[in-house]
Amino acid sequence: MIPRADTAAGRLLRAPRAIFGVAVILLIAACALGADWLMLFDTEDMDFDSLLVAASWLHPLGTDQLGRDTLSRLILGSQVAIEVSLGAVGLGVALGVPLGLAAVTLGGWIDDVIMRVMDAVVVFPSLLVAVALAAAMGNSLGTVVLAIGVANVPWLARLTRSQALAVRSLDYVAAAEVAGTTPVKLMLRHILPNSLAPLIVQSTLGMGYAVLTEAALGFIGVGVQPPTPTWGNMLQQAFPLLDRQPILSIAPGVAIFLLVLAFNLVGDALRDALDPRMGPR
Amino acid sequence: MANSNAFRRRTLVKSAVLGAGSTVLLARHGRAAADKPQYGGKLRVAYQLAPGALDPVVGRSGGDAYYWRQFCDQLVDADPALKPRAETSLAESWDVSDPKSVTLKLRKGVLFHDGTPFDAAAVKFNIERLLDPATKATPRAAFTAVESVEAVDEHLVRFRLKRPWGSVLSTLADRGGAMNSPTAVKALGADYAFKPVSTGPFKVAEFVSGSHVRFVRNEKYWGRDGDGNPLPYLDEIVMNIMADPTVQVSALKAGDTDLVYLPVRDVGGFLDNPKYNVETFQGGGVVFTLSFNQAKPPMDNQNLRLAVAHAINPEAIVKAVHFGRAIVAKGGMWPTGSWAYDPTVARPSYNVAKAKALLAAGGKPGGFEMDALMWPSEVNTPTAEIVRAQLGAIGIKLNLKVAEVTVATEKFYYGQEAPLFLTSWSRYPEPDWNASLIYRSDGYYNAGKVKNAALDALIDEGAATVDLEKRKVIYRKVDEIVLGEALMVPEIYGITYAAAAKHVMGLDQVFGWDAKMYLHRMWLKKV
Repeated sequence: MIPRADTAAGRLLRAPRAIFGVAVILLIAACALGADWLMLFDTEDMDFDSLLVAASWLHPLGTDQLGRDTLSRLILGSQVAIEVSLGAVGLGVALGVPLGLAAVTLGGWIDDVIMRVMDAVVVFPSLLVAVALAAAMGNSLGTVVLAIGVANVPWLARLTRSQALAVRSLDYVAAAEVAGTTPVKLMLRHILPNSLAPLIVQSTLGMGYAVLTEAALGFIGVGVQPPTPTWGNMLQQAFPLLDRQPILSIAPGVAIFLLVLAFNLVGDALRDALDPRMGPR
Repeated sequence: MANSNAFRRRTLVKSAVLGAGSTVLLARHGRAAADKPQYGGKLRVAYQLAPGALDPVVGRSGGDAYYWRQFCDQLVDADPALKPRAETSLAESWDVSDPKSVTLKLRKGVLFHDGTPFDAAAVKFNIERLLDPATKATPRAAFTAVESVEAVDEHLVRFRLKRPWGSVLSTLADRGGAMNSPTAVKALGADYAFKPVSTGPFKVAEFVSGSHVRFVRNEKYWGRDGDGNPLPYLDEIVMNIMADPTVQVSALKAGDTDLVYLPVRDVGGFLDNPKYNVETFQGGGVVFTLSFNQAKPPMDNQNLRLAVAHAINPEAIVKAVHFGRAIVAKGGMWPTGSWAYDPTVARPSYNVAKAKALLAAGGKPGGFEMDALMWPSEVNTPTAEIVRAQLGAIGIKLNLKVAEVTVATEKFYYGQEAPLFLTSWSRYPEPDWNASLIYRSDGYYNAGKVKNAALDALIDEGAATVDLEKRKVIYRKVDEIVLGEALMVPEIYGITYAAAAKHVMGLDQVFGWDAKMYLHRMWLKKV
């Protein structure tokens, strides 16, 4: 019998949904990293003699309206999906966590200003922010990452603040404070590490949300522009042809679904695994 | 007067053909006897664009004509080839033989919808209103040859000209030739923009912004069909604004609308469906053209421009993007179905070897990198992707700069931000409109404002010539220079499709010369 290591990682890897989620994420990440070796066709290779063909040995997911291999485009599209999810959440964490910690540490009117600004950002739906940014700065991967990342900031800042406030009232923090620990050290050494669990969960769920938002932006035509394939813009181009060649819409749709599902399952499992009250099961 | 007679002869021949049109349609669909038009009923039409204004003179949207054509007549009406057609015009005849004047003999007994008589004074009022800068009339630039307007008698009106005006008849067939009631214009002021009063077969009954426009029958309409029956047949038309073509097609299938434009991807399915009729207009517009800025490197180099043009295979684009339902553009900016169309002029056709040789001749044997502006749409985006791939094949790396249509247009023609623009062009069958705007050295759409003396001279000559055969020769020469030096290379003409439920009759006459809908003679067969 395998010893039941009662660590967070151990708990996580015993949950089937987490195993599935991690496997999907690793698979898609591997596609993104190894795209150059995995793609059988250049994504700009057009074969005008085989437009909109169904699945075959040569084209396992068929070809699109311009005779391009759907599987190769899907693989290259995974790069954008992974880049956007990491980039947007990375930006959200990089701005949101320090803002939340600063609000707790500095308190008073600074706390108020920071949190009211965060409230103001939340008022604008992230899609709307993204459309406005794309109009102002042009459509590029950077704009999409920025738009989705900015939308993540308030949620992470709020979560950081509420966690840090809760942890700060604990006895060991008071003890450290009495022992003369500087506020910055107190925050980084004692409060932040003990507030991390919900942030990790929120970030993981945020990655799923980022993938979905990128796809939505691509679908309405303001995301990363063709000829760079993204799952969103592939879906946009395929959708009017739904009744003619359904696999063209189904392929990117399923890819988006799987990656978003994977991030959500992993996030969900992480929440359970990181919860100290859960204990051994 | 000789010219005018020539027009009249042609119109008579044409009207005979039109008269037979409905029979042709019926024969095509296997009915035995020609149906006699039935009166009454409400036609529901779905259309993509809301009107910029209902007053034809002040509206600025390309979609305006769908509305004003239903409740206006023009001084000079034109057939689908843009040849003048007297029997549907407000002028019974015209004399354009004098280069210093144009004389129109007006139809008698015509009333505006408010009862104001249509006469020479009304025409004078309309043209003077249009020329007044305060009106901000959209077609004003096309009327600058007019010095003054004179009401010779009640039904004879004369335009005094500053210079010869070759495109006068085509120009009067567009916005500027639609007549507005002087009484209503004076009474309503700025409100007139959405409460127009004209002479046409329908009257505007209701306008709900963003939703629909409702027209009702003009009981006092002067027009008659070929058998002498009064027009129009319909009691009512409702034009519903539906921005998404997919939604329009769904509405037609659901029976919520009677008549729509059909996206090319759906045409096959409708042609096979016995519940609908489909009407085709060959050459809806220039759906894809290469527009160059001749002043902006590397497209200031004629060899490199030609290399780009020769590297592009429009047949591949027709097949992939338009599902085979489009036409390779062989007549430059004068599209199929217009009198100026001439497919025998040489165009830079697809030839990779030649493209590579031209690259070498242009000093860039290995290719180069450049920006191209484009605006995204279901058609433009895949077209741009193909162009990028085809140019890539001869070593030209194209960086696509994407912006919304008005922004991209402004960036290219005004901002001079890119050497190449991948765009489309509305159907303008009167060649002077395009020639003086795109090719003349001072034309707005001559992005680089590059002067070509030979072209300017030809364009001025064309603008001053009235005889269509002579004009055709002149505009062929214009095309030889434009396509030969690759100033602008139109690649594809669209085909426009309209689909209607089977009981909608008169579909064979639904397209005007601008491929826009013209509902004057539609009727509904009672089932």
